[in-house]
Amino acid sequence: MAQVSPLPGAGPGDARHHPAAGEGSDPAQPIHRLVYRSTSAILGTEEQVAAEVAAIVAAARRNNLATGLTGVLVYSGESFTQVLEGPLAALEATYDRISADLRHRQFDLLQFTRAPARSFGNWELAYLTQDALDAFWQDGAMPGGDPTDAANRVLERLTEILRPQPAATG
Amino acid sequence: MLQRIYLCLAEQHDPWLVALAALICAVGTSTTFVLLRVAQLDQRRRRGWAALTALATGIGAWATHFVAMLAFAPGVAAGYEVGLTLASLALVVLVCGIAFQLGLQGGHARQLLAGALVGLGITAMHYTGMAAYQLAGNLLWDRPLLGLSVTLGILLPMLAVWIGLQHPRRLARTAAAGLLLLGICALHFLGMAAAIILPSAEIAPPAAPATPGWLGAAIGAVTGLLLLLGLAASALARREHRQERQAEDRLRSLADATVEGLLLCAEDRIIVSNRSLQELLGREDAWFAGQTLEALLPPGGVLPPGLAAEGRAETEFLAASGEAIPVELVTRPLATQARPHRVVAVRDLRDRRRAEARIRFLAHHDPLTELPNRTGFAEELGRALAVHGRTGQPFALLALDLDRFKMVNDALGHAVGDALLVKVAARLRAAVRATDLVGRLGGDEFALLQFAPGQPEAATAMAERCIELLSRPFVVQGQVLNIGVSIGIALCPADGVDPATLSRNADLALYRAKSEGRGTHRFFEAEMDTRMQRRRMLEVELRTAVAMRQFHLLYQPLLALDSDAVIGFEALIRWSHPERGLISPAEFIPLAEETGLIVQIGEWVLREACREAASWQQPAIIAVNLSPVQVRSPGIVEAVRSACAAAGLDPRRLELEITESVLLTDTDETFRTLQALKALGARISMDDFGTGYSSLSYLRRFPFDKIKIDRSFVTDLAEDAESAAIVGAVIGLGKSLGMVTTVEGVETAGQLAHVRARGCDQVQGYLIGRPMPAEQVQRLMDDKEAA
Ligand SMILES: Cc1cc2nc3c(=O)[nH]c(=O)nc-3n(C[C@H](O)[C@H](O)[C@H](O)COP(=O)(O)O)c2cc1C
Repeated sequence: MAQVSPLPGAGPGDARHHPAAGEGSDPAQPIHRLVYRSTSAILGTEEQVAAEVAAIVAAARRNNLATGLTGVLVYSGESFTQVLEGPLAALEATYDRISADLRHRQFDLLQFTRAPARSFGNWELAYLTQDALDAFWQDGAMPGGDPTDAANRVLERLTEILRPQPAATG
Repeated sequence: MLQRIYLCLAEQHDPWLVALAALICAVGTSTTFVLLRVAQLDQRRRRGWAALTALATGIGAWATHFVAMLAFAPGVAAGYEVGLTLASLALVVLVCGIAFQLGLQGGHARQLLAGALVGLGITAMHYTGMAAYQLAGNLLWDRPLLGLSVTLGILLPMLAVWIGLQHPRRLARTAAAGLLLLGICALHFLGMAAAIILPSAEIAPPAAPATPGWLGAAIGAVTGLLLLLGLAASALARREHRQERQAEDRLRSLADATVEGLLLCAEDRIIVSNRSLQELLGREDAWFAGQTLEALLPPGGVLPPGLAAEGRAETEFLAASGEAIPVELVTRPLATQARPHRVVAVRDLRDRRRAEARIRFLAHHDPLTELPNRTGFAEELGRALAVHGRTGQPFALLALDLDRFKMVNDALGHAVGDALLVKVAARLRAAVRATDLVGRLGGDEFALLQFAPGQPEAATAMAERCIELLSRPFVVQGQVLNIGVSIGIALCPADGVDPATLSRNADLALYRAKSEGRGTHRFFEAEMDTRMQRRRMLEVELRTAVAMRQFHLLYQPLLALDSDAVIGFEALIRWSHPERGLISPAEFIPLAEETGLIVQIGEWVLREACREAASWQQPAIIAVNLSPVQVRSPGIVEAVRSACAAAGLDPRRLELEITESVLLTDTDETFRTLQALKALGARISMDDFGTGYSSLSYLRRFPFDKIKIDRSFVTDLAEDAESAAIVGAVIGLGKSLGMVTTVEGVETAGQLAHVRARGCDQVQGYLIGRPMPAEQVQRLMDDKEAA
């Protein structure tokens, strides 16, 4: 089974018990979701790249917690795949920042739609790296072809990987 | 000497009377300064007050003198000469009167001189009095003591009067009175100590010595008068003080109610401030009192020179918070005060400055994106060129034009369009460095200034960054929008060193980028310039051509293979330029399409062709080409209808030829238009089939009446088996879809035989007939009739 790899000092455990967790079931607050894929444009040594990605995740978690967004970021060492969900205004504002970020390129927005509910309500941003990814890609979640299909495959796989499993994470 | 003084005071004077003398002197001197203050304030009756002051001073000093003389026991018989005694009083009063008149006119020099005069008057009074003193003995003088007595007798009053006139406060007034008291006492007692009396039997005792009774009465009266004067003066002073207070209170509540800050200054010292100013600067009133105006300025500030006793100037005041607040100061002198006073009004300029800054900002910026607008950007470009002129620093000018923005704006409305522009601006800001500049020139036009060495690589990287960033989808109000950007780049100094040339060259490069596929960037090249100029000239000429009717039509025959008869003609436009002769449609049609002139030209072609065809004896087909721009133009259906109606042509004789590119932007709108044209009765042909994106799905989506196979397939029909196969296949396809097939460009009998064998319906080409003028067609038609 896939492992959720904690960042040094900022494990996904910290991201649990998200205050927005209940929001997904609040019918008054419609939820939107976006899925995109991009290629990392971060240059430098392995440590420098790791530090930059850690900074991205830290800033993202801080912002997402504040604006009530939840989601997951997958980093393969080469590409990013991200799912973000939450109220439209916050999601759009965050998308504006992410889509203006030069730290990635070949930006491919697979989906931006209304969603019936949050799929990652427990995470302001779960973070998955290589370990988890082997399973992720092998299972055919590699985006490609029709964007909607790709987005759905990503979602399916990620929800499966991140399904709460007491033994899997610390 | 000290011993002499001591002996004189201790042994020759009665202490009780000395004390009385000092008391009289104290009453006199304090009365002097109270009255002097009143004289200062009451300008209208100044002379009277000055005279009264002189009277009080003189009487005080004189009475002091005589009581002290009474306390003196010289050890010999003594008396006073009445005339001289009274003269001494008159003298001191007169001199003091002159002195106070002088001193009240203000100014340090006059005030000091007045003081000296007062001292002189008192000294003169004392020694005149001494001259009136008659003794049974010789009077000798100890000179040093005498000198000291006179010096102090002049200097101390001088100082006292100066202080009293300078400082109106009570404390200063008391000090001045004390000094004057000291001066009079020093004069008197040092003078007495200086007197050496040698008793002599030769000198007779005074003939008519003033009796102590007479003296006592005189002194009592005088002292009483003095006391009265003093009381009256202090009552006056108190009343004046109260009035001053009330006036001040009224003034203060008025001042506090004013919105503007106010300061009252005496010379350059602040006396009071109002509440508005205290609030503005965040300080207590007490802080202001005694400060100079300079103390309100930020460190190192100087008061503007325009701010004298009366004037207006702008400066900055430092608030307690450390904020430098821009203020306007208006100064007015206050006439009612004895010393030069002025009121300084302090107006807070922050709001005005903010408004000015906003106005300046709006003049140079686009309020939507807050980027510099055309004016602001032009200014920056000018600045960049000036810097280049001085330092040789190169820079790049990038002209940006959004792709597909107009579509979004038209389809989704201005609100979405505006929100999109704001997001575009944000991404552009993310794409440039802090030293670069982004501007919005208007609509969907943006521009960048890049200050970087290493051109053209740096500009290339920047352009690619912008293209990459703007090609990412935008999300506006939950809708995903895809636009893009085309970029033209001009480099300074290579492509120009003045704003007009640089901008024009960047625009030319942008034009190139757009015509070569959009979503890309191009650098300016000199050749663009010449081509552009040619194009511009052609455009002007084309407009005249429309107006001057320099166009005419030629007609190329169309042969039906089943009957081997000419069954129609295709109308072809020609432009005969008055100087340049015939201009090929290949040269001017694209330009006409770009400029939209094609709509006008195409309409003329329709009308002319219909009119011509209607005049033929035979009901032959007339084929007219429609450009994609025409098909998309809103009036096309009506134009066709009215051309037929005006000519009296049966629309069923009209064939409209369109190319595949019409269908490229295959909106439903295009199909609706084609449907409507067909509903009029006209037939629709697909022209140049096989050259474009030839999608067979077009044939499925719209029921064309005819397919015209492009001439390029016919040319190598004999040698190229592939072409032959394609032609055969298309003919077969047309047959199965119920469409007529025409082959264009048939030039040899061999080609004709080939396509005939394949079952083609119609042919066109030089073998059948070249495009011919209308008269020839008329003749051909007449011949046919005859045949
Ligand atoms: C791959 C990737 C994913 C990101 N995900 C998020 C995110 O989920 N939330 C977020 O606020 N910022 C995210 N960012 C960062 C934003 O682009 C931007 O840098 C950040 O929001 C700025 O926040 P700050 O001003 O608090 O530093 C991401 C950036 C990258 C490159």
